[in-house]
Amino acid sequence: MNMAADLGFSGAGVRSGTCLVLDRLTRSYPDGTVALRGLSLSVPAGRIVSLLGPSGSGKTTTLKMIAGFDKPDSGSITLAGRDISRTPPHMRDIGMVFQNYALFPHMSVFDNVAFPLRMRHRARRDIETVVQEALALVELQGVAARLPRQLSGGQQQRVALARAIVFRPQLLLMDEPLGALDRQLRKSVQSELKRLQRQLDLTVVYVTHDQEEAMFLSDEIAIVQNGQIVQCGAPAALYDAPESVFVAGFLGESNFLGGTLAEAGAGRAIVTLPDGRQMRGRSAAPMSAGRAVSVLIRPEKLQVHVASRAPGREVNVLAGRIDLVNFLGGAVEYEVDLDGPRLTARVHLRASAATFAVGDPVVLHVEPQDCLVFPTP
Amino acid sequence: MIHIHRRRFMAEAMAAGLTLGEARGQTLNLLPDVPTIPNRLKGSGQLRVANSGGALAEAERKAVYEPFQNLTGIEIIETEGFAIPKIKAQVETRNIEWDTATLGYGNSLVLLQDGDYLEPIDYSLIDAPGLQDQYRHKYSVSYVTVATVMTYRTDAFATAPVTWADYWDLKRFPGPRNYMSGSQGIGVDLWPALLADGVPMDKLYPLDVKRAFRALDRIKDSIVTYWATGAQSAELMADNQTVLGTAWNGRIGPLLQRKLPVGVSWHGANFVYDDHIVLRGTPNIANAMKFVAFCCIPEVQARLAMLIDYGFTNMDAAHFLPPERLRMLPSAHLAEGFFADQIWERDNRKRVTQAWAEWILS
Amino acid sequence: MMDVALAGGTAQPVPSQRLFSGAGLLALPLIVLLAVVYVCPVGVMLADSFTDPQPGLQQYQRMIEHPVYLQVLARTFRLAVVVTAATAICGFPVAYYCTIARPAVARIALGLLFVPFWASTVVRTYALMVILGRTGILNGALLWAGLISRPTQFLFHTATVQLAMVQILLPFFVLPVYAGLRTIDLSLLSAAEGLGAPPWQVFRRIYLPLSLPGLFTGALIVFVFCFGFFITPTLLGGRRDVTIAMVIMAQFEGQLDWGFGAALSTVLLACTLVAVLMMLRVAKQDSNR
Repeated sequence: MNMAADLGFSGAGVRSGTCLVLDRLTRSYPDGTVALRGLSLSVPAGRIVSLLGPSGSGKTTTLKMIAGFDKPDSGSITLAGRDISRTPPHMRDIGMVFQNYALFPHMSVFDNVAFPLRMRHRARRDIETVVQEALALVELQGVAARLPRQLSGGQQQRVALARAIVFRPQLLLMDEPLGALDRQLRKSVQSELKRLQRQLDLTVVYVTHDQEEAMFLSDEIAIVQNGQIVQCGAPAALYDAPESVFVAGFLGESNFLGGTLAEAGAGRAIVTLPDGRQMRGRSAAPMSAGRAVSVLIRPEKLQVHVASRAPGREVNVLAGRIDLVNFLGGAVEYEVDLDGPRLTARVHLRASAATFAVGDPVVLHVEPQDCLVFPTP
Repeated sequence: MIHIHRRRFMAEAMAAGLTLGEARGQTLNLLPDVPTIPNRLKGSGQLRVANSGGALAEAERKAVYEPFQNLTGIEIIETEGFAIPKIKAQVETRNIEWDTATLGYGNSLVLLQDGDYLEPIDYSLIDAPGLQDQYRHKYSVSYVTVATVMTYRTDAFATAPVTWADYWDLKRFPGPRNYMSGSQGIGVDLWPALLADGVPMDKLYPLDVKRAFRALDRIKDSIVTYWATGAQSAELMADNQTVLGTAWNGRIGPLLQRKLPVGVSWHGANFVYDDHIVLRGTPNIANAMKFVAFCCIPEVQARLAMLIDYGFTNMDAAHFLPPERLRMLPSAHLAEGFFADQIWERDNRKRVTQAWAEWILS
Repeated sequence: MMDVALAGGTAQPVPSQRLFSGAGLLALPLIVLLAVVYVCPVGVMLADSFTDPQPGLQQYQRMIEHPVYLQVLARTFRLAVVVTAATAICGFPVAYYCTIARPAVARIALGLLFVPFWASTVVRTYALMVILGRTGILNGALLWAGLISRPTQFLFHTATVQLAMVQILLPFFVLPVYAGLRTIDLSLLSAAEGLGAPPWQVFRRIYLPLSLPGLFTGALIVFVFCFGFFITPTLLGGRRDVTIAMVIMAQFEGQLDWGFGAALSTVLLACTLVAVLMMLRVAKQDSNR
């Protein structure tokens, strides 16, 4: 992809520092709905940051604020050191890929991609080369003369991307850009997107409600809830150390066991389950004994043993019976009935691993550091 | 002037309807009675009469058809019908649906030029000394007269304009004027221009078309609008959009009755008449001729003249009309105006219309 | 879209096509009605123009010998063009406003636009006379304000006719344009803006081209309607505001010259058809661009 180098699209000189800062943005509407409640976020240059949250949480409003289609009631937006809070959209120098692509139906693919360049009064000859290079980047050289409606969904998505990056904006916004594509295609487009982002050293704010997509693509994920960012960090950090039940529940799959905090201190906690059994874990926040808590256990952290061959420890061992077996290809998922609560365990299939059938008695074991104790909200 | 505008005149019932309504309130019980009629006009059976509809037909119903049926014993079947092609078609296919019809005299001339569509009138039935020769035609009898007159706003001038020369006098009588449009069924009227230019009324025909247009050129810019319907000519005066204009007398009568500051000058008025005709080959020819004769009876004509602002053709009708009513009618002003030469108008129609169309766009 | 759908229907008749032929049957009464009340009279008119009073081209010859009739046609054409353009300029913002206003507000705005429809053209024309006349509201106001010392002649000018026609034809323009504008995806405007287009460019490069189909429909309706106008020019116009419809009426009603009336009508029909086809062609080229 030597063309990228010609364009100056190259990622050779990795930019450092912060590209975008959102500082305590608020926004409410005349009908009383509050979309943003002091949302703050910092996006490092050259990274993909995803805004992940349920619908109505404020992630699309945030994106509109960044693009300039909506104005915050208070707070500021800084792009590359410049306060753009009051800058009209066309002067913000931000590329955006819309959920429905928003390709101009009356213009050819070429004219669509050339549009931002023409708006910037670039020389005609320049436009020709730059557009062709951008189309080459998304592997659409052959369709420049076609109209958007003559393209497949995936092709349209790539045109939208080419149009959003052709003028080398400071920042690229993507609003659930893969939502309309089927699963198969989505995977390959995600990889493609990641490759392009690295290659061109793009800074991307990516809105999605698909947690898998967010984890796959993002350098950082910001979880949005109720018009605020409740936690932001690298996908692995968020997965391993969610700060709330909401974040834990939203990112990845989780088992929750309800109970009462028996003892707490120095990050450790002992929880009494309703049936009297006790579990040890890490506490995610300072809490005092007697409080109602939830214990988070990720399915892959649960070990499943044959009931007769218990690991010989008395900590965090739970006896139960296999209730359901879900075969996932490389792994198998067991739903285990613990005489009341149910837990899901995911076990990777190895030659050595024992397999179980419905009705088999088993014991589950989990290490205390993999049990995260939250106050029940 | 080809007189085919009467239907339009009547169709816009607003102003005319007002006349009739007011007239009826005041005068319905003043309608003169028709005396006993000679036996030769009595008969039996039916008669199919085509009239022009609207207010005139309403007046005819009351003034003419009612006594005709009572006195002659002939039943009238009335239809609204006015179209030369329809008369032609009925005669040509020998499928007569109207025994008798009303038609502008000018139109009857047009029809006769095209062929023998009409029966000659049986004057042996008509005993009407007051019916002057000019209304007695071989194939038709004229029964009402209409005048085209000059109108003015009485509140616009210190002294009232009288002649067409006054209409042309922009210094003494300044202000916007209206004129007939010569389109949409309104005939082209060149005679006011010639009268204004000094041509005596009895020397008008043949019209000097070039001279007329030269005269019109002089006031072109003061004629702000050209009316295409009778209602419009009255509205323009009633609303004071124009201070001088031309109009059919029937349109201005209602304005006078409403006491609006509008005046009429009969000086140089142009008279045309409407006729009764009998369709050639009708099986009901006897009844049709009786009807035509009945319509010439002075009392019958007077009844009609009480109900609508049209003049009579039997001068004896004047004896049965109150003087204030008589003043409203063309018949009282015949000496001040002139009768259009319908044959000249017919023969020069195309040429005049063409020249008018060219002038009006220039 | 249509082409694709039709191309998709291969040898096997698909249900939707069968449904369509059924729909064609439902349209039969209308087709018959049109044939009887429209196609037949037009055919008779065409024939009349060549046969009345004698077979031959003399009626058309007359039109060439006396250029006044073609002059009127040209004037009518000019009137139609001016009125169409003015209606478009006045109507487009209204249609646009209705698309961006809240639905309730848009409904009220569109409703108000149609209030004048409850009155006939004659009444609406007279209403304008009440406003613009010598003793009308406008003159009264200007006199009262001391801006003029004598009533101004606002009526009986070409501009008066144009104003009235724009006012009468506006709804016929706004409705199709509104329908067209509503189909425009507003995110395209945001997209254009985000890509660096200032508002004027967003309008010129995105909104206007996308609204052209609706604009053409509206303009076509107004344009064709203009040719049939005679009441308004008669009541409000001056000497030169003679439209071809008035001249044709004069032939049928006044001159009883049906052959020439038919010939004029035929020429008018031909000119209108040519104009409409040209407009459609332009519209098509534009949407293919």
